[in-house]
Amino acid sequence: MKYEKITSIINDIASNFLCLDDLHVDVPTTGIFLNQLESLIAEGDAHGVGPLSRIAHGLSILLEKMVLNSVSQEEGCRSFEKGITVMQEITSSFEKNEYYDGDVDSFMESLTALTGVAEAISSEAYQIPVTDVIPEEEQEDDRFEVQDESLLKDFITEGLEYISEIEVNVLNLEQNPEDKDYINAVFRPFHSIKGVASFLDLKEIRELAHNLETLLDRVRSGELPVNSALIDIILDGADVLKDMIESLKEVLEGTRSHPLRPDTAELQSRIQNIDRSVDDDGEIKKLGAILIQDGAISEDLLEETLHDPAKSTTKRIGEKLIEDGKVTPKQVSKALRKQVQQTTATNTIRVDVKKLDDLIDMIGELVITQAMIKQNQTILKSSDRKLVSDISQLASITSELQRTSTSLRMIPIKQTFQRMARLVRDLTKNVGKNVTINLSGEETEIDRNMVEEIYNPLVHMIRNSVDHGIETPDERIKSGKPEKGLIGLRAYHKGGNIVIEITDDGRGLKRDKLAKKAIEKGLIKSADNMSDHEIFKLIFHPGFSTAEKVTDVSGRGVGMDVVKQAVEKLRGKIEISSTEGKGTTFATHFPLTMAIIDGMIVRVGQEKYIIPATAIRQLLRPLNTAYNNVVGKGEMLNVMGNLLPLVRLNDIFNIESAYKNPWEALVVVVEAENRSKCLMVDEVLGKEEVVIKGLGDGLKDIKGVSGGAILGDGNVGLILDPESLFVLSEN
Amino acid sequence: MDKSSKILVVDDFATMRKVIRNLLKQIGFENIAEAEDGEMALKELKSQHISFIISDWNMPNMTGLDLLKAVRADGDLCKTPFLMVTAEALQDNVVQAVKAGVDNYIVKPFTADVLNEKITGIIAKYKK
Repeated sequence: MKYEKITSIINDIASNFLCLDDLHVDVPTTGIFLNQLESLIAEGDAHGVGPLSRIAHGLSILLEKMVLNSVSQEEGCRSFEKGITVMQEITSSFEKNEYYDGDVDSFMESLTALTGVAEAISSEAYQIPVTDVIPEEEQEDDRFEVQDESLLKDFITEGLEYISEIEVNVLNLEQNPEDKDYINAVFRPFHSIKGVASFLDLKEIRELAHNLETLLDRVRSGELPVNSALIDIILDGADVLKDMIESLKEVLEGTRSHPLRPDTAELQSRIQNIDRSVDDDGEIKKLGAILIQDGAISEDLLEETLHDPAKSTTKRIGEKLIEDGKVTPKQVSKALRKQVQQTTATNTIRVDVKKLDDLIDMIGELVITQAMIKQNQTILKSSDRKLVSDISQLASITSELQRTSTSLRMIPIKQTFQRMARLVRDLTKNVGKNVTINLSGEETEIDRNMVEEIYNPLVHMIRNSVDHGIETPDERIKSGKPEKGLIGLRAYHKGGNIVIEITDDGRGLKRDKLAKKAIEKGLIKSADNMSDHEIFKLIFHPGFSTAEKVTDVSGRGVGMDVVKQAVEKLRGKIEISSTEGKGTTFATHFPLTMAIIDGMIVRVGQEKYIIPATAIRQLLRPLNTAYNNVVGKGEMLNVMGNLLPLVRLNDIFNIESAYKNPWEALVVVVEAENRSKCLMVDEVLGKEEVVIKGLGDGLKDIKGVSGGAILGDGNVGLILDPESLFVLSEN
Repeated sequence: MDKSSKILVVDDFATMRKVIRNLLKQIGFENIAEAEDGEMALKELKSQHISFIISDWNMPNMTGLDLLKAVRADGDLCKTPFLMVTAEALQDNVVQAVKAGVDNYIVKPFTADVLNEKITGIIAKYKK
């Protein structure tokens, strides 16, 4: 029978309805009804039973309203019952091949009156306006009450983490505007922040997060395109949210009375007016660049196609090129695929850093204890082969354990790089230059604790490259370079270090001008015997950066001494290479971790000290004739033409040393803060990597030493701090 | 199901899980498991007996809706009560969840009382 299925569905609905306890359709039953009505609509449409579909559709909307509590259960149920009756009448008359003459229209009108949804509007197109749903409960209140401190703390930590995630993903999104995963990855944190903020009664944060979320929802649904205006709003919004969340932290710490309530009017109006903002072609060029790289098109052709006014601007570059027959769709899809960066999803677990640090510390202790057991006389003399092999097994397990434990704290440098990319983006806008940033080696890992430390020096160097390295677009065109400058950021491991290279294709350093300036300043006498490298290093001299003019001449120098100091403080070093007119590369070498130091072990009397290897310039036994006692300046040594002060470690630490005369002992030339001094020691015992141990609160302010370490033989050695040691030697 | 039954709270935001956990404690549920997305939730559901699921809608990897569908499609798990947490009562979202067989939904922010009401309501239905 033709209407068998329809009848059976309607009967099911009717019997389900009769089973209801009272006039109340609960959520699961609503689900069942909705699915039944859906198949009823499909059947009705298939068999041309229009009135049936109309009613079924109306009843679906009614149920949706009921489940959202915008129509009361009682009223809704009565209408629903009526609807079922009308549908039953329709089917029975159709089955009898009669025309249904009941009044469908008046029933539908009563439904519309109840739901407020006109028939023509389908449920898909109809959405409750989001703003209406947010309860506007609380009134303006200037007092801020901390509801639940531990929750708030968690929220601050996690919220800030989420915001930095947003920053990373927004930049990814800018590169891959079509990628739904990135849109979701930006959407979700705002969503989560909003959710928790609503529980914690953080009205402003909730509102802003909500508006940004709504904006992104429009992007997700394809209503808004991903363009630079949108990216800007999201980044600015994330900044404001971050400030607000950070201010909560200050409130908790007691340094603020109530949280920041920034004026978001400007931002809000930008969100409202996003539809009117103009798209730029940042993303389009990116695809073009890949096509050029692949050799599919030439640069000229790309420019031509991009600026061809005859072509519609709404089309993407790939489409235009295909249309013109310049490239094959395959080439474009290959390029597009290259654009998509695969994010590697890994399973992670959040662990308190303190716990991790403790674990790594304890493993460090274990390694040392293990080494002491191995060197124990009883064990060394033991003839028990089982014991010896067990001990060596223990040694290999502990060293493996140590390796794993240090890797626990390692994180990819990606996040830092992305922050740099953002910085370049912001900077270039300010200075009116056109720069692309090219990142590579983002997966290179570095100690989590180092990440924050290297941030400032890197920012300084990037700023320098953008400010002074890259020329203005006009200058670049004049010197035959592409208008858009390129800054490369590259990271890789080398030895125990992470190397971060900042490359620009700008004007480069001018050797002659640098040398001239240095001679004028009295920093050097003549540049004749100096290598390029040595000349370039002059820009790190503090005297160089104080002169404003130098910036214009050399194109470098602003605050580079600050950078160098910051890098050295982290026991790192900077290398420069540069070709005039071609560009400059700064390679900074940082240790992977602050937990381990590469040191030279020296002995003075019975004590052993560790000198950081990065501070050591030279090791020598001076000649008798090199020693001078200069009136007013104290003891000096002539080291390759330079008179350097002699520091007797035994005097400073008040211990007995084996030698009185420097020409009998050994001298270590140590550099810090652009000064060198000679440290006199009895013996150099060798080089060793040691795990740095704090001296504890009681001893931490002692000058001249920065920490202690347990040496391979189980003894304790103090790690010398050249900087404070120099100060100490002058008093 | 009683107060000692295990409830699974699914949300990618750890603070949110804590919020819900605290609310559950207020109404007497102490036995709580957590999962940070749908996939993890399914693993939890398969490895131990869970009497009640409270899940967020919007999560990475596997959304609350997908989790709901997976639970309903699984012969062993399909009878587990499922409460969906949503940010707003967006008609589209709610209707999708309702069609997929959710037992009820709850809109953020909510109080312990509202949560209690929803949970006891759902349990009462299952007892019948």
